[in-house]
Amino acid sequence: MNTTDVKVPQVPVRPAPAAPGGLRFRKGHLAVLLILCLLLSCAAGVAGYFRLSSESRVLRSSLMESVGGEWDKKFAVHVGSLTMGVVRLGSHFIHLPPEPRAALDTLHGAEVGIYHLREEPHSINATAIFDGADRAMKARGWDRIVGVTHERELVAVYFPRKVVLPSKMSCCLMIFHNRELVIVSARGNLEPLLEIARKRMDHIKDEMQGRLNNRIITGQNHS
Amino acid sequence: MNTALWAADLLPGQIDFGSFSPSTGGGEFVEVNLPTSLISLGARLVEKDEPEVAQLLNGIKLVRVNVLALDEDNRADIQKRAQKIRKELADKGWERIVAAQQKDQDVGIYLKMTDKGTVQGLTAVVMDGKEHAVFVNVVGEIKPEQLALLGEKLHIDPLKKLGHTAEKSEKKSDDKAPEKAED
Repeated sequence: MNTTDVKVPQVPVRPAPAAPGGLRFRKGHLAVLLILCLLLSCAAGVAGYFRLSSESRVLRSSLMESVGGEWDKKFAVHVGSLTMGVVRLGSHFIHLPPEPRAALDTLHGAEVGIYHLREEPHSINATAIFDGADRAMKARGWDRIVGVTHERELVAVYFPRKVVLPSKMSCCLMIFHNRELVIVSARGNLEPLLEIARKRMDHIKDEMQGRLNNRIITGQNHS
Repeated sequence: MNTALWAADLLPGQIDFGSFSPSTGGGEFVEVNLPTSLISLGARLVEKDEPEVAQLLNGIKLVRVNVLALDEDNRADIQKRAQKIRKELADKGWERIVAAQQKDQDVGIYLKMTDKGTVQGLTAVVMDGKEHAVFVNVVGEIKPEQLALLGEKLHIDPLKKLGHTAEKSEKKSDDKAPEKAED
């Protein structure tokens, strides 16, 4: 018998079985990773409540840099569309009068920042404030619609330059009064509020017409 | 707000007042620039009860208002600019419908009209004594009948009368046109 002709039967090689804790190891890591991501998302979400949008920050900076001095942040909160959506959804389970209902349905997102200037400023350079704010807001696609100043008070209102629809309204407002700076930004659908306003106007008109008719009748009776 | 505009950018009926700045003395300063979209929003509010007013508002493309307090620093400059604006209005064929000077008040209201009597622009330049200056420019397409309504709402009698006059002359020209066609 020729030894070279001997064929060794091939035994199928099975991979070595994994260590007993390996699968749990991978699942455990995945779970930790998921929990970490969830925690980070929650942290980012919570932090987002206290971070104003770039437009609001720009308005704030324009005024603070021009006026100077030291400022204290009293209040700054941002409520986005997700939170407002949850609030609107929840509000439908409770009975609300028409006006608050319309206000909730209108608002899709809002933010407010209130800051206090520690010392009375010597003067307010309104031109510099408007110029800086206008330039920065214009770069972001916003135009100033209203600008009012008197003594050391200032009000500026900005709207987006693009076509404004009642269903997609946005607005930024800056007010400086008595060393308090207030920045407000809001966006939403004005249709519910417009409807309430129209009904109110109809009601006022009917009321005035009624009073006028009564006066005419009274006047005729006297004559 | 930078309102310096090239002549080619101006709408018919629009006047470039230039840019105004608040006075260094802290006097009153008001600047309003309403674009079409916001004016249309106002029209939607009143269209159910006052459709004519809504139609009027829908025809307005731009509203600009400037109110400035005058002081020693800016009085001379603002008065000079007001005179320059009035001259420019006269040179560009704007019709002066109100010219009133009483004590220190100087009021001028001007209209830019097309051949058909449609108003493309309304401009008011008011110097209220030595204390305030007011500049107003309303741009749009206002028909003669709407002009009378605008005069009534704003309590400007000359505007009301002008609206009625323009409406009458428009009707006369419409009546003449078919006669000419027959000839």
